[in-house]
Amino acid sequence: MNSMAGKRVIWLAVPALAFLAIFYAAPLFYLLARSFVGPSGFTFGLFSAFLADAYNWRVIGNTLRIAMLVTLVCLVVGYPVALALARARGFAQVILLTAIILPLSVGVVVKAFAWQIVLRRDGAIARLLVSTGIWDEPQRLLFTEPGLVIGAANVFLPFMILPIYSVVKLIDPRLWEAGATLGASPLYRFRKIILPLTMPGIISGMAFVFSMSVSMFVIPSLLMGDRFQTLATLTGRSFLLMRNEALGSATAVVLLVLAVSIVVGSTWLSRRIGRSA
Amino acid sequence: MTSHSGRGLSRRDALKTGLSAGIATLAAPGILRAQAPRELVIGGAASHKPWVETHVMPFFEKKYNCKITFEGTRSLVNLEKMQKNKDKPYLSIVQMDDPVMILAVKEGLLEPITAAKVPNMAKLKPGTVHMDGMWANYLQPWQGVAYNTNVLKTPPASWADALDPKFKGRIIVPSLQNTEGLPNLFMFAHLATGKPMAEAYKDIDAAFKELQKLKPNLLTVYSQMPQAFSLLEQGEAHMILGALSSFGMQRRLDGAPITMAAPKEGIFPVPSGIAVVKGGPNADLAFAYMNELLGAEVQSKIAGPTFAMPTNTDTPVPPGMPTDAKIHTIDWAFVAENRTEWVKRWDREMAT
Amino acid sequence: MPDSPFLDVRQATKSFGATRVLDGVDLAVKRGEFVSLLGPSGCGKTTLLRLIAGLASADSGNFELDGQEIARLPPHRRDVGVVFQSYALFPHLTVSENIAFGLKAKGAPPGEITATVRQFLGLVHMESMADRSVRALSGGQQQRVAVARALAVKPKLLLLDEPFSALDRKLRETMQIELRRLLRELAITAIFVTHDQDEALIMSDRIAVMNRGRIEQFATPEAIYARPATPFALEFVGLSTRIAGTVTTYDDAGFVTVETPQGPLRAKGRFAVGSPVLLGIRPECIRFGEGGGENRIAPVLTDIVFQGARVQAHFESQSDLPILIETSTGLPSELAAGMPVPLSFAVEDTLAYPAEVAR
Repeated sequence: MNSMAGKRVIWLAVPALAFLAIFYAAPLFYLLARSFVGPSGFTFGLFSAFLADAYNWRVIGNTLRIAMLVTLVCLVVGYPVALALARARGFAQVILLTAIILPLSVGVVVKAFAWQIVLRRDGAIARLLVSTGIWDEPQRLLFTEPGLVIGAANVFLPFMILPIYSVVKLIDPRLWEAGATLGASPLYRFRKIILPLTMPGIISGMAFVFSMSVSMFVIPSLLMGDRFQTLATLTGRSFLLMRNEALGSATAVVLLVLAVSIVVGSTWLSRRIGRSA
Repeated sequence: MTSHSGRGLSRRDALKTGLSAGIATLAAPGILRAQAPRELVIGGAASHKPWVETHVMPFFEKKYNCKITFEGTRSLVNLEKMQKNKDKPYLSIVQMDDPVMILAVKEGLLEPITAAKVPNMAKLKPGTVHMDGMWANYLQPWQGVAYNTNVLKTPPASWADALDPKFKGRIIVPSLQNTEGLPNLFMFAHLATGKPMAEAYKDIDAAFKELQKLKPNLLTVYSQMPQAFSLLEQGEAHMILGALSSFGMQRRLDGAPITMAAPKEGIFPVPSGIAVVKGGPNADLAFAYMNELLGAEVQSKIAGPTFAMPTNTDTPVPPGMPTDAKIHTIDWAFVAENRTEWVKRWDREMAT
Repeated sequence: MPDSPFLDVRQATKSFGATRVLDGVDLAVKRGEFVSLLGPSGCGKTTLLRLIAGLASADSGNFELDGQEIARLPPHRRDVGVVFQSYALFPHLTVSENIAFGLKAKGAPPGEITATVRQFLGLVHMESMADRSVRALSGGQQQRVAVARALAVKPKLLLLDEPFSALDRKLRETMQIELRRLLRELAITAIFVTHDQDEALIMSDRIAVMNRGRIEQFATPEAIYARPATPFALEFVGLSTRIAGTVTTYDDAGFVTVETPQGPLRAKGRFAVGSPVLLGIRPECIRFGEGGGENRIAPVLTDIVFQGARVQAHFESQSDLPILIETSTGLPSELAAGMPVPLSFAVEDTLAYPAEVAR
């Protein structure tokens, strides 16, 4: 009876699966196939040529470095927010949630322009750093890697906060109290109770942010400009400007392989750390 | 690449203008005999729509008893529309960038024009009719140096001013991905070699070497023009090399503290091309439309709003346009051949 | 100083918004004693427990444990263990890891941790489950782990917040006896929160009956049962027959005559003539027939409830107050519902309370 109902329920997934098959899997397959097709049929030539070029390794390095930094910043900034959000009640929680979710409705381009204003030499961040004495004089943040990391982290922050929040919310607050009555200091309790129990949220948040920032296209082109290529901007340019589908497919596949392997690998690693913590 | 002096272009001759209008009228009667209004479909840029609808459409529809449908999109999309419907074209006229015109010619999509079919061809400035009449330029917005007037009290006299160390991190240039990114390459070849532009522009090696000097001063290399101009207006950037007049002058009119300069080395016209589609419907109307766009009457109406230089020698140069600048026409065939290589090199050598 | 209390709470007060949850509570617990806080939900017993553990802070009041003022100490410095109602076991850890948690947090040497964990696994009969995830345990097993985890750090005081409420009745009775034995063996001072009077009577050295943020009576189970200090204690602890009435006579020997719907009854107490009172009699003090004592009534029988070793007989009453007898010696054979039955009880067993405070 139950398994019968279960089998019938599976049909509910058909529209989504069909949608993904037509609009995602098929183009992706085409892309994969295209990257292995040379003038004389099947070849790895595109990849070996791509990887033989030292410049492309620099692009891969740029892509991974920025994605990791963005993920790290989102984690460091987002984790305490997720805890606060889960702890907040009533009006304060509504305000916090709104503040986190509402920016998702603002387009990336608008945000990038806003960041351009904030990151200017006479912008808020530079003024803050000068007035606090960290900087002697205003320096350029715009179109620098720190500027890009700050801007991208801002855009992707909700995707770190929300998965962690959804896990924190489920943690029985008595566990924290139980730890206290057993003589554990707040720091110890955080390390041994909260951190391991929020690890699933951290993992999915990091996977979200990393995969989005490794493939971001508009944000680096607006906050970093044309002098800083990532795999995504290189892919975009190959298709849109150079009309070189083969090269575009190859870079896209390299990006895909890197992103998937890092997300899968880090998930596996964090699970291990989470278990042994 | 050809260069010539624009000196004296602003002088006009009322008699000549009247004469060219007369020729247009003489060509008209055969068309006027048609009874039901016929349709002329034009593929152009979305940004053309305002002036086409205001200054061209009513005038042309009345004069030739027809109806114009204007499809505003991007040049590459127009190219695709022509390719897809090659056997039975529905576009009669295309208004596209010159580099895309070259691609269209290669695919055999365009019908060459002659002075017989398009009398105004004879009135055009040199260098504005391309590949034996495959297409012509009806307007030339131009590229020079845009600068922030709050920061720079006098216009930059030379493109090389941008190399001054006092502009550290204050200069913006367009990406080579953008059409407007190419002139900088030629200008830097000219700056590096000191030879006349017509000789210098092919020395791309020299250009890249000279561009290295610009690197410390670069704020960014843009692919989104509005972003570059907003940075200039905010004062974060002080100059944009290779800025488009149609954009920069409009912002200035809107009150932004920026303006355009035409330094002593010269400026680059940005060719707005027009061509007749091979085998397109109502060819007679198509040639008539082209003739009107190349004519002094229409050009004098649209040159002002688009901050462009007219190509018809009888058309007065609108106020605010440089009247005595050297004008360098870009060798688009050379560009088409080498652009991919240049982009690759640019990525490597201009990277942060 | 063996006579001074081990835990001494004085004038503990706590409000949540406009609601006063604890209203100046005093509680003195001796070393090694097992004290129950008994009362209905909302009486403040759990709040008092949380104040002692440091999981909430009092608005005012003194808290001393083992001669040390603890009111300002954070919970992890108080040496007060808690067994939570939901057990609050760490779901990502095994049984052993849960028990070892407090020892590790305090930085105990690994050898000691292993030995202590083994000892407590044994004490709660969980040796075979040591490496299981706590998620896989039954309710009773979780309860044992929670107790072992709290005791493994050897707290000065153990607080238990309704730890048996999630267990079925049979298991609950076993666990109650087991826990009592364990605490006595380890000589742990414990405070136990419950709303179950039977549980409190079975387990406690002393019971604090709580009502509306106050302790109404703090005494041994026997004293509370035999001499409830307030009508609330009478009603909440054990069963009772209750009859309302008005005092008609009063004598110097300290006896009153009360006019009730069941007729005049005599009770011990000092009340002015005319004052309303509530009389209470424990069901086992009432006899069938006239041999039970001076007070006699004849209510109509409504119901006989068989409870195994004991039998209850319920009678009609004019108010919503119950009249009932409980006996283990059997009922007269001729009883039938609907007939009036003569009953009697001693004046000494008739408790009198001022009626204003009765509900």
